[in-house]
Amino acid sequence: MSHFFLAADSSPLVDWSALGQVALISVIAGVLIASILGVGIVASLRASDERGRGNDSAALGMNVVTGVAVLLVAAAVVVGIYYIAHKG
Amino acid sequence: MIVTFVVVVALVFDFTNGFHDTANAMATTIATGALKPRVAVGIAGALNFAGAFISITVAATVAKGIVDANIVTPTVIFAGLLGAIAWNLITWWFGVPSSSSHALIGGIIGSALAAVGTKAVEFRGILSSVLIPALIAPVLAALVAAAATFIVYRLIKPYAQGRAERGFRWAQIASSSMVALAHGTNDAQKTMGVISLALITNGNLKGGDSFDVPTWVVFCCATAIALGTYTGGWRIIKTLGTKVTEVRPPQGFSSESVAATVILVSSHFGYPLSTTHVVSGAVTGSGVGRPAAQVDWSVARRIVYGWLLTIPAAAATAAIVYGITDIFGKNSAVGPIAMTLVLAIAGFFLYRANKASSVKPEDTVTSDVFDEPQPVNA
Repeated sequence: MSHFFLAADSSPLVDWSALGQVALISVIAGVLIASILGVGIVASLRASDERGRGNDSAALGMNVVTGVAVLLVAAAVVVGIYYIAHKG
Repeated sequence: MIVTFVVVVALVFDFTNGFHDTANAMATTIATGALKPRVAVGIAGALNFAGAFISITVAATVAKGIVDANIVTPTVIFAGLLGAIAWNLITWWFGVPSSSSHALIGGIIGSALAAVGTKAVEFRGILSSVLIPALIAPVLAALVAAAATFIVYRLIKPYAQGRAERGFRWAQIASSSMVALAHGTNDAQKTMGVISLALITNGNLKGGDSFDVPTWVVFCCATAIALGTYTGGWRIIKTLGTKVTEVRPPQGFSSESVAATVILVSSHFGYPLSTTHVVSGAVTGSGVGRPAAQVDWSVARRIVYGWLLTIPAAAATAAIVYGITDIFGKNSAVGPIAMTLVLAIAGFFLYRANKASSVKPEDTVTSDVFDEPQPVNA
């Protein structure tokens, strides 16, 4: 099928390999970032609930999960800024 | 003389680009109440300004691969810019989030066609650099945003809506700021490229593969796009933040983080997608992904019609502008002066009409964002 997209000068009109990578990384990173923050927020809510029940060790554990999630999302932001600064 | 008009009109285009695209970064953040409207556009303006300085990769590729570079003259650029400005103003008036980059490309194509004919246009480049990415960008963003939103809502399902949403409001500030920063680097550079191109064709700047964009050009473009962004295109913000779908904070975060990811990844792989297309697709996708949410497909259809019309409409306007300026002679400044006056008069009447039927910042906030918490799956 790909020859359909070949033009007269024989170079491919669309770099499907690069496009596939764009789609794959976008799917993985996009879903992962939102999910990690979702897990972090849920952990924060559960930490609050556990504290209310007097279960401090479980609350601490959930707060650690929240902290890790926030750090991971912050790391994604730093990577994003790096790519903005070093594009092209 | 003509090059002076090109610089002025390019900065006007940059300003319209700013207020037209404020919605890309801040529409969902404003709609969900994560930031007050004026604060949001202030942050977006500052980040657009900063973004213009972060990466000084020369963006003289605006017309490269689209039209034959040898036929580009200051008059062709001038007419192209006017076509793009006209389309940006029309779509802003109707609250349609269309691509400023596509308007600029359409404008340059139209003026090049009017100047030289079809041999000036590189149709293969248009297909591979503009049309195919334009088809892929919103679909990809919509699918990923729908998946991300669905997963997030599964995670927070057991918790009350207001309680679970609070954290996402904070996160939205980070995700929308990323989009604003990326927008500043991409779009301010396009205008820098246009002005540099005009200076080179006029002999004011030495060309070549690795020329330096003058500092005053960088500063003026950064200032113009930041001021435009701060002005806030409230009509488009309202469409994207409240009309496509009712946006809640988890959706806002999912759509903006997915949009930032798609924009940065595609840019890294050499597919600079339209920020507008990606964000519009992501917001629509987040409406599909959220349980019980509804997407107003008539608004989505109107946006797509706007996208389809962008290049032909900007091209037609630019061709007409080129034809009128050409009446006064190829290198005469009379045509550009006359057309700049027409633009200024049209802008004045549009400003007055906007004052009479203005969309206010508070109209861009979803009405119940500060209501009492409800279960997520209510």
